[in-house]
Amino acid sequence: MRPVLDIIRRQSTFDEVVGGLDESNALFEARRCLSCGNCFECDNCYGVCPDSAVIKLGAGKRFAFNYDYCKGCGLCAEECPCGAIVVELEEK
Amino acid sequence: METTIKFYQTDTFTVGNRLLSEAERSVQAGMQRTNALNSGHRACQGCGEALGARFAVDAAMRAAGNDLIACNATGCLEVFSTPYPESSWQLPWIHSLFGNTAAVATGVAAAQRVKGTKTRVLAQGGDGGTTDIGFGCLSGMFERNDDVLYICYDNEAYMNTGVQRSSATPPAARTATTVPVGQHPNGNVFGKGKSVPLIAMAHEIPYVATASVADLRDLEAKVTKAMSIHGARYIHIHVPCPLGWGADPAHTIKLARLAIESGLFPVFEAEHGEITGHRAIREQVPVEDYLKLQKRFAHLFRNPKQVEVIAQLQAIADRNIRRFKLLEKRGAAV
Repeated sequence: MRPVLDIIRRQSTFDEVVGGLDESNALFEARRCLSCGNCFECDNCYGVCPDSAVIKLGAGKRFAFNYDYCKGCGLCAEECPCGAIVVELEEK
Repeated sequence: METTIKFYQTDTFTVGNRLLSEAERSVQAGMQRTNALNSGHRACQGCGEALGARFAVDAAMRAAGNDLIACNATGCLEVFSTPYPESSWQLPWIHSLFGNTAAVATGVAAAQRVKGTKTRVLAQGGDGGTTDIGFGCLSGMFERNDDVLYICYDNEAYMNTGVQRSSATPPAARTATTVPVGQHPNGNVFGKGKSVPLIAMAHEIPYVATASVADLRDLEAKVTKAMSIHGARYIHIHVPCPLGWGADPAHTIKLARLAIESGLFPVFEAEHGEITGHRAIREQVPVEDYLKLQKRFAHLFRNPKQVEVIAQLQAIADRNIRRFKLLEKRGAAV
């Protein structure tokens, strides 16, 4: 998949031996990403909130949380597949 | 790029899935969902019933073109959603008594027939209002084949009045009226209770299904299918109750999932009294995984560990798996 330098070139130069991915390869490999810590808009938090306190902002805009209605059950954080939601205790 | 390798998952548990076409996406993923049970209701943290009710009624609203009337039995769902004079419901909604929801729904459906309107009728209640108190009216509604979709949200006890045992409470569970005492604390006794989905099937009504908040797509598909049929229909939805079960509010979905995957809650559907499909177990887990997360089963794990009781519960799960063929690949219907 990736271009590799001939053996003669490797002996005579300091060029990179294994080349990088081209654009289509990079896009293909990126599909394996589990999106750790980054929201990829699977809608789980939006769907599992018993209080409808998660507001969907639309494609690419992710979500907002309406803390007036949030009861802090933590279902959104539990069901988030990439750990992008953290529940923190409120400071008094 | 030509390739046969697929990294995309389309058969997924996630609520939304951008890889599916708009039409295939779940109701809950849509920004236009009805939010039939809206924010501001007074349910506990992580309430499974509030979640299940929104899932089911939103799907029914879409299927009915937002032309729907709901009748509600007394219970948690009624109490937390409509403390007078407030209401969280975004659709016409009526509550009369604990035991007569099915009869009220029958009347509402009859009124629609007389008036010649196409408004669909939904009746809903908890397991107490369905399996115990409202059972006579429910059976009558099935027998007359009234055009009502009855949804039971099963949280396995009377949670609203303080966690008393109902006929849907599982064996060995602790409730306020089945307190485990003595040297071999057992909780609720084995060999009692009933399965209302199976009783509904015995009425040979057009559609009976069980569903769970853990599998949203399956739930929505069943509600949508039920709404496409006229006549008496029954859907039994398993909804964990963090308060009554003594569980972490964040574990609501996880518990519902473990109940399916262990075999303790069989998810199937039936038409005219015959089972036509089931949701297969993806990865079987021992019942202990499910029991350990709940304080209502904590007496089974204290010294000495009640190995025999756990084995009896495992036997129930194994029997469900055999009976509903839960390990076989998903049935054709869903």
